[in-house]
Amino acid sequence: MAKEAQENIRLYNTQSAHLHEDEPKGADQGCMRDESWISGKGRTTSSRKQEGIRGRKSRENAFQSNTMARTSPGFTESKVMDELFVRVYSLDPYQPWRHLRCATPPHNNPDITNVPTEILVKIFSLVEPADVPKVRLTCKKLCDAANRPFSFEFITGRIHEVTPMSIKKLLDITDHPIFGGYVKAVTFASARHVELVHKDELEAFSCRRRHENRQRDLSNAYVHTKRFAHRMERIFRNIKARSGCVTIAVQDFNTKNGSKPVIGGNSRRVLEEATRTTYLTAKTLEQVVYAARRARCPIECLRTDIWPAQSLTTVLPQILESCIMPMSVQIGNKFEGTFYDSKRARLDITHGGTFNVDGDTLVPGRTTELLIQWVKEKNISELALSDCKIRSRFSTRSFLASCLSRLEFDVVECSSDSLDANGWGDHIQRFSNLPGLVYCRMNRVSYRMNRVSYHASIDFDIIGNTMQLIIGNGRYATKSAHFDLYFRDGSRRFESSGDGVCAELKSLACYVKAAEADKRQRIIADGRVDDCIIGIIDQVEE
Amino acid sequence: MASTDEQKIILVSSDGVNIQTDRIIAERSMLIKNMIEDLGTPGEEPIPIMNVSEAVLRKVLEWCDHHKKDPPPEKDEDADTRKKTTDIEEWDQKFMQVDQEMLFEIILAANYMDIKALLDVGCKTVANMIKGKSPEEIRKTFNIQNDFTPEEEEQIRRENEWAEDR
Repeated sequence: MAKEAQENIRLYNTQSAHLHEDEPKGADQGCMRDESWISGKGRTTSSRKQEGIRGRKSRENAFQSNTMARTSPGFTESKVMDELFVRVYSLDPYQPWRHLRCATPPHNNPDITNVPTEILVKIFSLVEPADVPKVRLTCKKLCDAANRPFSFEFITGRIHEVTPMSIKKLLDITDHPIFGGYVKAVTFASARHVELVHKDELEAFSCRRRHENRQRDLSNAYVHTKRFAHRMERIFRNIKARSGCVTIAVQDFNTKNGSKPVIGGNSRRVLEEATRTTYLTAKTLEQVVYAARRARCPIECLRTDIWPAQSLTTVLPQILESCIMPMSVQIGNKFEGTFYDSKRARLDITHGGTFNVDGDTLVPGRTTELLIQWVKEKNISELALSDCKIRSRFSTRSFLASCLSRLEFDVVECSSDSLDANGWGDHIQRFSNLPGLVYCRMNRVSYRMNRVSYHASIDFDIIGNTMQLIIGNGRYATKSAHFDLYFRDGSRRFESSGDGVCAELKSLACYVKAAEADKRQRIIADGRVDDCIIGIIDQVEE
Repeated sequence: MASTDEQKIILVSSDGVNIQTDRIIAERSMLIKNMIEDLGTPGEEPIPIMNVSEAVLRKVLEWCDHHKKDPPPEKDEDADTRKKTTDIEEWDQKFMQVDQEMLFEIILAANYMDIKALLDVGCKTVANMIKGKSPEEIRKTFNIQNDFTPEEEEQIRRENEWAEDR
């Protein structure tokens, strides 16, 4: 066996030496992508292996034969060479890893076109987004590799305007054999009135005759057309077939957010020339959602950043009641709004705007109330209120089901008629009775006392500008009827997780019951709080 | 027995050259690390690196030597894919100042030897070479033949327009 292989090597050397004579001068550079080179890969490696056995002195020779193999079109001994490669390979003195196969094909003098596709994809994901389309134009292989980064950058989340051209474009994308499957989320710039409309846009518009005298209502009108409804339905059918479900968002893109939609084609001019806009968010949302329903395309999440969303008050209940699968709803942006996440059964309410101040009473916004109504039917397991005000009649009871497991308060103001002997407002009392609660966090909770009808056990003394709230035999010095809630350690933050959350909440109340003058002195001495904001009840009559 | 830090091992390049190196350096490569763990006899037998020639292997080991004290990579796959940054630290930039052939050899070797950080640096280097270039300039840079028919090219141009509508 060994002898045979050595003979083969000798044969190979003779051949290469012979062929070397015919090699044209200067042909050894710059032809790396020649096909003959690619087919010569095996030979290249074989010569390397052989070199390993025979030592370095044959290296130069091997290199030359390499080059020759790459550049000579008449080189046809590949079969012999492949066999030789196998034999020489099996002769390799370093045998312990014989069982290991090469993970990648042997390569020599590589350039970008023979880098494996998965590495190219990695490279193009690092390229600036604006450069990815340019890469797609270079050659087929790079184009294929760039398709994925291209899709993630430009196709997965689309932004379209409710105009014939923009919606047509979206339809084209969802029809595309490759890119259609990447569309996961579509944001619609809400339909609007515009002052001026480009002529071509008119041509494309089916209801031209009806509206030719009312150009300013053109975009407005498109959202009402059957053509729009049909196209949207087709779009959602495509998305359903390829992606399964969709995230829909409707936004105004007004100047307040600083983002202007850039819409392709002639509609760009519409935007430039538009001087007055009125948004038809509710109508757009309604039409889009209904189209998705007709196409039976599940809506994973529905978002709209319009807030306060007065125009949604009629549309939203219909949409929420008619949804065809559990879906998440986000109204407002991350700074203010209401978000229901169906996967976690979590309700997030952010920003005080959720509840409007009407004289002395706080009334939740109508949209929020609608959403809460809708959510109430579902079992909420997580409730997070942030920057909110809870008025006395706000029914936390509806959330206080046994399935509520997580509770998060951040900057929440509770308006309360009464505090109990432990210093708890009636809202908070209830939380200590939730059997399923395993996590509770309260951060900066405050009370606003309704001074008109306070509980008999609470009394106010007004001394100068400071109000002294007296609960039982304790007192709480405060500058107004609004005061913050401090916890056991003097902090304004309470966090607890595990089975004993409710017990801990109860023990918080117990703390207020017990006199801990020492602790109070220590808290004040530590400088954590000052005397006037820590409320300690010295004695409470049982 | 020597501690892991001082252990020497021998690697064999695809062209049959033995290279001795510290185990700690070589173990930047997950391929080698796993091999050593599987075999359990470090230093005794030379380890063949089948797809990597001597010159490239030495270059890769040079990188491993410089980065041998780096903390292990964070398992933050999600953030990794999202990250668009093509910042490369200065030493790596200098290290990557090689001809294109060697650059791709390093990338392929890093991929084969499973050295993620080196693969990242290589990919970033190539990404930077593409930055701001026209398709023709990219072809020139990487010596690529345009193999599109005019129709195909037109089709791709149309698809590329979708990128501009954002």
